[in-house]
Amino acid sequence: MKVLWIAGNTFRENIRDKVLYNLVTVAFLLVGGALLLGELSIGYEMKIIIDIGMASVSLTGVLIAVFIGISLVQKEIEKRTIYNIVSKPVSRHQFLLGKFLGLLFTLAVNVSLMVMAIFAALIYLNGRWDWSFLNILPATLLIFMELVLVTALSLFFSSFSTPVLSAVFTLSLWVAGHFNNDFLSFAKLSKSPVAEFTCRLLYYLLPNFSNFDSNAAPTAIQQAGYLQTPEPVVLLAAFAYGSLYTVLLLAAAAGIFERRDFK
Amino acid sequence: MKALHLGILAAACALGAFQCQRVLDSRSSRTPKEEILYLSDPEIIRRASLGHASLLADFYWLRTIQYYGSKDRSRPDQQYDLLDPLLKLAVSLDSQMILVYRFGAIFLSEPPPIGAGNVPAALALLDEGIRKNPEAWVLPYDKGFVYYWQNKDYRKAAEWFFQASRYAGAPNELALLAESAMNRQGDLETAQQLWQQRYEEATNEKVKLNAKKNLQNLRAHRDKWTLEWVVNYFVRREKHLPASWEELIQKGWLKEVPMNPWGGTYILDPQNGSVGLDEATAARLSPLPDDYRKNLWQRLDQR
Repeated sequence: MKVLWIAGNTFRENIRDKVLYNLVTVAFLLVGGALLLGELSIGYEMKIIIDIGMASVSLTGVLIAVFIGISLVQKEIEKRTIYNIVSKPVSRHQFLLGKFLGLLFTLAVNVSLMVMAIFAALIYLNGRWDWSFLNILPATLLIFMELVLVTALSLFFSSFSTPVLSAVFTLSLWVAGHFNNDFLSFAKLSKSPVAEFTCRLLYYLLPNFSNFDSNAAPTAIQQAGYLQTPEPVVLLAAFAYGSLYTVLLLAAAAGIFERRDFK
Repeated sequence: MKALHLGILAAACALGAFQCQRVLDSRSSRTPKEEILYLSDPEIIRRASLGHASLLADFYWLRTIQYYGSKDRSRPDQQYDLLDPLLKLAVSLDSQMILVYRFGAIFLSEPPPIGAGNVPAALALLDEGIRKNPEAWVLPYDKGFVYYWQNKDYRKAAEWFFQASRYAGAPNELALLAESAMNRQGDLETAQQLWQQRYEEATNEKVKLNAKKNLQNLRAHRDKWTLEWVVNYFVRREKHLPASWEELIQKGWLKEVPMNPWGGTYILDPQNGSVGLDEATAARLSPLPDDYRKNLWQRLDQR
């Protein structure tokens, strides 16, 4: 209950900070795109709208997850409100979990409204609603799972580091996480057992963000463009991977945060 | 008052910036822009996209259309150097974009200045599409189309039409088309069947319109050559050229003044007996191989 109360407060705080203003930009981008594409493209008008929409959901989501995520704890410390909270019967890990869930709820609202905007643009292009439009949802859910993991990463780093460094670490890992498969290629190419072991260790240790593009050809986002869905097993495995990695990061963040001295 | 001053300042700055931009634009238009593809390796682009390679494929497809559309097709020396690399990038980033293979093959194979005149590149693009989309019958069909129209290799065309006809979901008419291409090489009826097929299977409005234009062009050529054959036959019988359509109608050679597919009429040149479109018709005839005329006249002579 305490966790949900903190989560609700975090969500309200994010709304007050006008985080959802990015939706207006994306809505303009999609509507403008839908109007222009008929003139610019030969075919694929719907695919282009879906691709722009997916990229917008992903990019704005990552920016929100990183830049709000790193300030979740830091803001409370700077404003010294953390002293009031920790002096109440709220454990530190409950506080951290509440903050995390509050930001996730903000992201969920953001992603849902963006998906609505994509649907609106698709209806405009198609002239009517088509149930196959719902096939973009699995790819959207995978992007949301990616955002959950990015939020957990930013919260983990901000539990022991400064906001600037936390943002740098999180963004770097997000980018590196898309190139994670290269470690496996290096390991296969390497002739030294030590280098091979190190590459394999890094491959499993670092978050693999390419899992959320389904890590296959065609990718989930690519399939969404053609109103196709990825295999359920791919979807479930990516969800399970993201959830377990998130719990791991939150546990580590809570462990560090419990020992942190706020003086 | 303060707000008014700020407003005036902002308006003056905006106007000044607009003027500066115009000066810069007028300068830049004097130097010809070099055609450059800054990134040409699809693997680098795919990795840089962080999971959104599909969006970059869209971007390269739109760029291809803009590139092709921006060319001045009245210049006989028109170059399309970036066309092939742009198409290759688009399909490397998203190999499911069937329309890119289809339109790309047309843009590449059309003779200059309409297209790049690069038939081998068009065939290679379609081969790549066939390899990556083994269920798409339209790609082997398009390959037959390129062989038929650009290479005039009717045997190869028939082979590819036949191959396309064996795909699941391919229309039954493809087998007949393959037979026509093999048996009646280079005739108007086969060409008409080809464009009719393309017209019927097109889901995109622009493709449909293009097929319709080609069908109209074929019908107009068939009418023109048939009328010229009638005039020739008239000359052989009457020993003089007809002065007008009316003379042919009065003597029972024609029923009425012939109408073209665009709603206008055909005109007869009484000096040499050639037939053309009247001035009220906005469309112009695109040239067709002379084999078509020879085949048509041969068939009319046999009647």
